[in-house]
Amino acid sequence: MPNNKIRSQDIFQVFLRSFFVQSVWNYRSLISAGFGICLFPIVKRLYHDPASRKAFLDRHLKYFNAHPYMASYALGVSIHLEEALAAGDAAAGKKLDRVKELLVGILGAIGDKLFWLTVKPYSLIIGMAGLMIADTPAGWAFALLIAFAVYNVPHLYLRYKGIIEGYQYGVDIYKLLGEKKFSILQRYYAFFGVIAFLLFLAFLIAKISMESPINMGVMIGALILSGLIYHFRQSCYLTIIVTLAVSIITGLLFL
Amino acid sequence: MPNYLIALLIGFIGLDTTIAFQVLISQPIFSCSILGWIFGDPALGVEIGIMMQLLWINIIPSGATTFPEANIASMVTCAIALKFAQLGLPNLVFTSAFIIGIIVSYAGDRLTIIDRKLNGKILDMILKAARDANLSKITFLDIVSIIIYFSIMSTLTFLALLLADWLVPLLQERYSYLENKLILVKPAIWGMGIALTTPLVVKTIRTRT
Repeated sequence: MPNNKIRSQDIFQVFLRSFFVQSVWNYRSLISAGFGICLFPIVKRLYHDPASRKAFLDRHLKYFNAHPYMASYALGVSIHLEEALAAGDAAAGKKLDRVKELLVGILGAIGDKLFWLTVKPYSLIIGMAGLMIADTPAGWAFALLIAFAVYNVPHLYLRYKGIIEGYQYGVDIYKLLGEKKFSILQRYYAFFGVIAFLLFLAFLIAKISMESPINMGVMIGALILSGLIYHFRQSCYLTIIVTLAVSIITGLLFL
Repeated sequence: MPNYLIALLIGFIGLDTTIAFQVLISQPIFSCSILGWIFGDPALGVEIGIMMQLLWINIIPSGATTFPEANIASMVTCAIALKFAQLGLPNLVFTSAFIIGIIVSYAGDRLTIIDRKLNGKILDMILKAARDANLSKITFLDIVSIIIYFSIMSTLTFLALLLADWLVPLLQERYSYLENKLILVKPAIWGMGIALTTPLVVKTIRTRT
């Protein structure tokens, strides 16, 4: 009789596989294929005959989407419910479908707001400020290391903790996933990120003004032109191409 | 360093954008600095890294949206600028590298859509393998999908480097007088970067207050 109990090494293998959760991203099922593949250590532990493995794959290769880091919570819940199903709880399969549907919106919204709009840009801005302040290769390496850690500590923590908490709480996970849970983290990143941006701007302005007053004038002119184009058209390409063309033409005409 | 090795390196680091890892190593401040160290000019790598990061930081790779393939484009810009740094025409080389980078960012965006459609075909094969509960085949198809993206981005990079190999020496030979006239490009890109990043910071301040 095989042992159907999930082990910590299975959880860790799911965690490692979660780094590839978006590998087969497609327009029909979004991240479902990567999500299902993340759970292979679980299917190997829980199910040993082709019929139950096929049923497992049917459950997890359906449409699913989430922020790639926050998908960990859905992975944890899936492990919890699959374990219950394998232990004979027939209702767990239906619960799994419902809870995954529910999590699509929640995990996407929280992850986008927390990581894509806050932690990621501000970690990068902290790195940029560090690179601007440092003036030796060792200083640059240190600044990059800090930026890498500032981003990846919460990233790796939530990626792993998400699986653990999802596994512990099962269908009750949605009670844990209020936006307030992450608001302190967001506040700290926003606060230090804005300070880092201002610091970066101060060092950039000092650097450009030391190069020449013309460069400073061009930077301000480009800032105003790009700002106006982006404000009215919201197009990166148009903003970049027009401003670049104006700077080249200005150089050709006046230098 | 030969073009194919640079292309493979950039293709590998590019996987970090959405396909694998996502630990930020593909972002310009990291990837361009790495290229700078590899080419033996970390100062130029860091400078281009910061500039490209400022320009593209506002891009959010969420959900089904497509976006400029900024990370690959930044690495291509940086690699070309580093490769031709010894020509002694920094403004001409950088401007050419930047324009090629913009083309790469657009082509990368289009190719990502094609890759995602190809993944739809791979999904069909995965679903077929799932009917036989063939886990090994599904894992194999997952790896194939990663290799396809890696190959697409490496090939795009390789073609961009070939274009630079043809274009930059040509510009050096016939249009080296443009060097002083392109002196405004770098400060203009700094200005663009601030203009594109500031809305993000302003939004954060408004939300917090």
